Amino acid sequence: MLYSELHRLAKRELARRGVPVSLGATTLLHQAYIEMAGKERTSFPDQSRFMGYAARVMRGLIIDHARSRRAQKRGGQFEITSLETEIESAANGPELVRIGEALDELSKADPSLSEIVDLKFFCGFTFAEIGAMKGISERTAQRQWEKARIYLHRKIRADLEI
Amino acid sequence: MRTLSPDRWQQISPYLDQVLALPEAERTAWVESFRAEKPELAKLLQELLEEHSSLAQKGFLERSPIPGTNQSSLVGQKIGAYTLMSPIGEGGMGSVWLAERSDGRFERQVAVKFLRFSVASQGGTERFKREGMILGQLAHPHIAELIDAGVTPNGEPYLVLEHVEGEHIDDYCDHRRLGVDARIRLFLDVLSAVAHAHANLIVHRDLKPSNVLVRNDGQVKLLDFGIAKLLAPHGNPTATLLTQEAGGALTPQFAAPEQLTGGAVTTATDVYALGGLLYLLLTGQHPTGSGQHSPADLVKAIAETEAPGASECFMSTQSSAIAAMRGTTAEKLRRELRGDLDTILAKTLKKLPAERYTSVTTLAEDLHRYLKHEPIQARPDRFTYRTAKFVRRNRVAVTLGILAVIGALAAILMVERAARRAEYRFQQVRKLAHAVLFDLNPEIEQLGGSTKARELLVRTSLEYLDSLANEGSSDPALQVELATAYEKIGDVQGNSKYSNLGHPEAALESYGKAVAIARKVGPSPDALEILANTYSDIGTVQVMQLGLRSAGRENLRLATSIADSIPKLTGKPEYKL
Repeated sequence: MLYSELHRLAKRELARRGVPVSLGATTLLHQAYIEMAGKERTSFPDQSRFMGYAARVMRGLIIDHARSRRAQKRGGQFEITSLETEIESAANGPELVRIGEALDELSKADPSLSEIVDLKFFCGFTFAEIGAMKGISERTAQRQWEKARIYLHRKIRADLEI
Repeated sequence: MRTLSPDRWQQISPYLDQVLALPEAERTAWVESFRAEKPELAKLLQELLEEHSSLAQKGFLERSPIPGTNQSSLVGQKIGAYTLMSPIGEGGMGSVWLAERSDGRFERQVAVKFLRFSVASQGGTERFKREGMILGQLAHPHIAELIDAGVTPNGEPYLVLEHVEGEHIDDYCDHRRLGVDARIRLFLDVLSAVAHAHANLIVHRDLKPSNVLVRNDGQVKLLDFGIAKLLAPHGNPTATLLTQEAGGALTPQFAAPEQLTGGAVTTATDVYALGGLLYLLLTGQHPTGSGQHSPADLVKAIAETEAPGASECFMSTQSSAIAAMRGTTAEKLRRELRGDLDTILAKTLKKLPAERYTSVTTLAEDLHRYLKHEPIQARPDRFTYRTAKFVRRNRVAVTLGILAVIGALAAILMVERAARRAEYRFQQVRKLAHAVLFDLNPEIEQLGGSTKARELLVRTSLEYLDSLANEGSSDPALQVELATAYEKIGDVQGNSKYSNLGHPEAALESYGKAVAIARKVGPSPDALEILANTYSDIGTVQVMQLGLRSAGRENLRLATSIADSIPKLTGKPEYKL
């Protein structure tokens, strides 16, 4: 239920490209939360847990999206949509997939850090927002993000060197 | 490069935390000193730090992976008379870009802030531009100038602002280890800016550290004046902050209670937020505490819970770190905050707007007085005054209110018990019983239909009094108070002389306790007075309510004779019941 709802919203979001300033994933998630809270009052008692879960879903959606784009390219299909004519997103497809793998690893070593990456990188929440959600200071959120980033980078580099 | 094993990560993680918390300039020295302790870990730490700075420089993982939100496509785009150059930041409200004039007329760079909401209708666009104009007329050295406001062809509103390079005020103070007085002086600059805006009838509505920047040269600059109002949904002035910001940031730590409950937003709202800011600057904490908060808890804390006195913040383990950033020790800092600063903060952080400082200027005046060691105008709250006010204000929710008061006092009691400071605890209980009986009861009496609340009041008071009686203190003054309290309880329970709960037997029991305690004290005037009064009460209840005429007459007679004996026994002038 939640997944399909998020999926719907994400699709809409992804289709919005071309607008100078897009609404962004945070708006999307807040919106999802408000809609979900209305429908399923009981299953998600607080916003912070909701966001943690939703951000994980978001990560999955984005990485799947990147994967499918890659698959399309490999299949040599003609690009009908304007997807590829858009300026390539900062993290390209293959890199995104690797980031996803590294994150799976991190979520085993330090789950709270991987959640911060989901919220920050995949959803675009600010440190202040993340801090408020997780009951930590803005600075602590930033520090944890910096730590997670070091971890992920190490992991990705190590994988590439093998 | 080796990947980090989970074990290795667990090992290095806390040190990484410590070193990343330091200002960049101090990190190398820290690692050096750590090297003597744990050479191997220090080596890894050094490596990770180097990796960190290269990642920060490259902006690794900093751009959104979602196509379309990737804003590099905006570079070079013209917004009004300005050309976007590079993104500065992404906030709850929207994204911010560095820009310069397209026609090259001015060298000055500006910040263009896109607001993350749409002004769909033509009317909305007009209103946005109009209000933007008003804000643009706000000229003050400590307010970042609003240069222009407009709406893109896509319907996205934007603001063109003076570009300010600086740190959030709390970071600025911490990084420079400013002491309490220096922090207050800087805060006074903030106040002068807010006072200027208020004089122009503009309320900020969203004062928080990230909106108060301090430049390298020490100049304070306030951002986003009045913008929260621009964002308020048109035609829905009562929307609360939470609903307003549902699409954006949810960081209501600095919001005033009335912003969460949908009350009127006035200059007093800014006074509250300023109180929160000063609290943070002085104690390193939010007035709502620093623990885990769900949004619901936070709302509750802001709307209902009184903030702990600023000087009471230094019990945690982080105290010495917080104090160190203020160039002092936790104990000294606590002493500095206790008294006037506690009082000033409490007055700015009042739940009711009318009880706060009447203006930013009066707050500033008190802070100036504090700096000059002159007596401040704000008065500390007396407990009983506060409690009585509370009841008066909350006629409807009186039962709930009483519960809250008793709950708060019970909490004090628990803390005291834990500390095993018997004497202090005794005083607390005494205060409680006194407040409940002498201050709360008369208030409740006037409410009418509040039997439930009074029942609860009596039951709770009796529990405390009984526990107090069992302490067996030898202080005669306390014992007299205790007896008086029992006597009062008896009146509430069932003395027809007063509005009562209709339990005469229970009343007699309480009167009995009063007598027993007063008798033990011996023939002091105070003890005899209470004894005489209580016997008189007993007699009254027996005669009037229970029909026990002879017993009643006996007790009334006893009361008179005790009263008559007071002058003779104690040298006190004649005593009449």
